[in-house]
Amino acid sequence: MLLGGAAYAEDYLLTIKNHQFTPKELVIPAGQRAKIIVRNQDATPAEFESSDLNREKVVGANGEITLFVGPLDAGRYGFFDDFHRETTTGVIIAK
Amino acid sequence: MFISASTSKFKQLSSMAAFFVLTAGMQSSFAFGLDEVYSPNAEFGEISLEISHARSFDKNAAKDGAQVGEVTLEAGLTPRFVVAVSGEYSADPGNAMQLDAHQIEGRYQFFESGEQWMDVGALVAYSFSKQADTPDTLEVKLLLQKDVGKFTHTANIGFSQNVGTFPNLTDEAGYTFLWSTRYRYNEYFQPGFEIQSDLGPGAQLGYLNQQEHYMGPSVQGKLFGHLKYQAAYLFGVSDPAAQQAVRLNLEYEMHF
Repeated sequence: MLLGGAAYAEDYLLTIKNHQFTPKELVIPAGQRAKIIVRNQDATPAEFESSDLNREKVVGANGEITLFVGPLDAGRYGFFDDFHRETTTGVIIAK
Repeated sequence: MFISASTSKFKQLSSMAAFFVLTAGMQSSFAFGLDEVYSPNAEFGEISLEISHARSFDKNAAKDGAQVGEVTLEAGLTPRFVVAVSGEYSADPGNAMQLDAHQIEGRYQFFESGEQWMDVGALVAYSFSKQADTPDTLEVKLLLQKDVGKFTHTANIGFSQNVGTFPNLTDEAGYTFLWSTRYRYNEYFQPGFEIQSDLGPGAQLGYLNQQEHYMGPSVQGKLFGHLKYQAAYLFGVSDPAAQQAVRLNLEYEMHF
């Protein structure tokens, strides 16, 4: 339903610090929607990006964003910081 | 914005206006128009320069070589709102390219991506005609998107209204329907298909063969971290449409 109530498993937190995601592997339940807070503790902006999840969103310096993902099939879904794509990567694991 | 060119007696056609005018009042005329299928999702903090171009191919010289295009500068001013300014150009078959209109466009994202069952947004665009015999146009589009596994489905439902009174031009609103499905294989390569339909004015909605319908394969992706591309090779599937058409779109992203 388009405006149906949001039923999320729980809120999850991803932190960016020193251009690293913590945790690097975030486990969420498969088959459910999840709300993920991405908090950037660096003094420079980052961009959470994932073609697996179809998400692309800038996180300001010392800022945070909210992502809604799923329901996801069981599997691994890669993501990265588009401003530091070689070093700042992570994986969401749905199971 | 739906952009167009035609072979009618109106030599200087602005985008939406001419498209619907011709399909309403001159059913035998060819009116070429293809557009980007817009996602409802805004990208805050991003500024981009975008070039789109489309061309028709047909054995009939009157339908072959029509070109339409747009050069756009857009910026995500807030997490939900994008503004864009553009110049639209076109060429009738055998004629030189001309500037049709300047346009200002706003897109608004109603919900966070994935927050609701479907992502929903709206586009409002106003085109200032640069040709003396064509009116300004106002366009509104409903933007819808749904991810299903690794597939992303996007639909745009639009209507356009001429602004001002011009002889031989309709006051009736015209309608468009665009659809895109892509498989997110990876960041660089996302194949799929696309449908582009100019449904014409309301009185024409029930007459499929008076409308222009195109469908065919498409591909899009992002290269070098900054360059987004889209390409589609479309086949005309109704009599007024050209036999084939190609649509290309390049977008260079920067952040501010």
